[in-house]
Amino acid sequence: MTMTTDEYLVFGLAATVQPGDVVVIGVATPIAAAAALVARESLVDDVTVIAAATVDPAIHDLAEAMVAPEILDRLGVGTFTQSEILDQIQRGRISRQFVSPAQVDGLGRLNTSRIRRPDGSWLRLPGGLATADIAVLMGSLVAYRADHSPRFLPAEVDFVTGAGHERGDAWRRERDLPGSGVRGIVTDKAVLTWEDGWRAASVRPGVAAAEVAAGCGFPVTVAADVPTTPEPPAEALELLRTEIDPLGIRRLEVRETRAAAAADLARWAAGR
Amino acid sequence: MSILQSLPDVVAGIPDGSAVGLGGVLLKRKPMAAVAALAAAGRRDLRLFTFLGSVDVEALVAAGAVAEVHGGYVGFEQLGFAPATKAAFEDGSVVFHEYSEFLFVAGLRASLAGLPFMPAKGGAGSDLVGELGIVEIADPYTGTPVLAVPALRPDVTFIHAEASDAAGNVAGPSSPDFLWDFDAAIARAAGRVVVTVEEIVDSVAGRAMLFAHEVDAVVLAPGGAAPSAMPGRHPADLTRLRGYLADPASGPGPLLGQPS
Repeated sequence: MTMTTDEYLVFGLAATVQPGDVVVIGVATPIAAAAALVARESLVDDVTVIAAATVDPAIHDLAEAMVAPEILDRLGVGTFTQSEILDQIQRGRISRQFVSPAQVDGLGRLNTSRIRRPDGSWLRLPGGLATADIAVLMGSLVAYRADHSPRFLPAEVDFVTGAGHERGDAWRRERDLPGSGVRGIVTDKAVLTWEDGWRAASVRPGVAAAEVAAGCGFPVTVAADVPTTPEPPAEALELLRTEIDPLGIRRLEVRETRAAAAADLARWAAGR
Repeated sequence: MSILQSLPDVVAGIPDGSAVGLGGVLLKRKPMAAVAALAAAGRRDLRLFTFLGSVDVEALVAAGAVAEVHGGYVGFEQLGFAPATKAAFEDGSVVFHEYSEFLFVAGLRASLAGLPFMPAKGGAGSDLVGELGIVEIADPYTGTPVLAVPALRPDVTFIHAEASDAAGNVAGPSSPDFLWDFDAAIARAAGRVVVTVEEIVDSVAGRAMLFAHEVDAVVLAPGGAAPSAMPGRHPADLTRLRGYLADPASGPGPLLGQPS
């Protein structure tokens, strides 16, 4: 069973979901959405999914939700207002979110705001949305991007949009912050976990352990016997490919396949 | 003066340098008819406040009307960067006061509650907190550190809504989509409230989102959210958005025209 990079990311994220989790997914992040849905449908018991602000939408084609987000309101049991969803998060009632920042560093700090160019000037990104908030409020965060290189994984972020582990857990406890920060990173080559430092939990089949360390701008522990990432159940992969995302819009989040996925989506939307 | 007014009349009362709140979220429900009127009037040095900006901020920046932007995002979602805004933020001609979502909403809530500041946990430890000058204080009862976010109070807020009655009671959306209630929050946080509407109806009884005594002016502006989406009426006009993004150097015209 061969998985594409987008599928490896989906199942790497989905495997972090725990029974009882309340997972919130943002807008226009099909890999995160696919991971949450496939985890709920076929991998983990008792998972609540909140899509944008809609609670427990029925299984659906992600392309539909991308083109016509208002269908989510009809697919779910109800929709939070902006105030309600933000309050849920600040009260510590949401346990997991998958995020795709521009950078995540050796201390788990997140940058979604601005990148320093080689000449010293800033490249401004569109803005951090709730990154600074969920870094300290979301039960657990898992960062992902199909770019296992120091570009995505620098020693230090250029700008701290979201706090990491630089001040330790006591700093969070003192402020009664419900979030534990970034606990995992999934790339196109490996799954990393935070254990007072980054450690390779598993490596993608076909990737050499040395590649994992070489692609990180920060120190990462890679055991000599690091396992390969377990394959998902065949029926879960089938569900992703046939029901959750038959068009493959999850490829929008992988640079090499973005243009092809966008063309497929435009063609599909025009024929709808 | 009747509550029903024209956009040129409304905009005549908004001086250069005003703090202007803009409703809508991302590429939805943006008050583009009002944006076009501000641009046409040649306003300068506006300080814009919007939760998640897109065509609204981009059109006004491209028109040279903006000094500052306060918000959590300015972009075109999957379509990419807002080019004029990105360039202006990078060369410093427009200052971006980047908020996180919680910090921005906390500032609005302080204003809504008539309070000088609102405590918040979101944003703790972020470089944004220092940039914004937000101060950490101690809970006077427990000593727990918490951020004190100062009230955000635009001089005037523009929102675009489905309908109003002749008295100025404004209807909420027929289907409550993602973050629809933001518009009422940024309206109520402002000193003045201007609502452009798709239609004037006999009654909005049972579905009012803002009440007549809270609204200073209503302007009939069908299609006034385009090219952003008006949920329940029309999607975002991707042809116009892509047309602009293909040639931003030609100016914000494609973002300011009437619906195609």
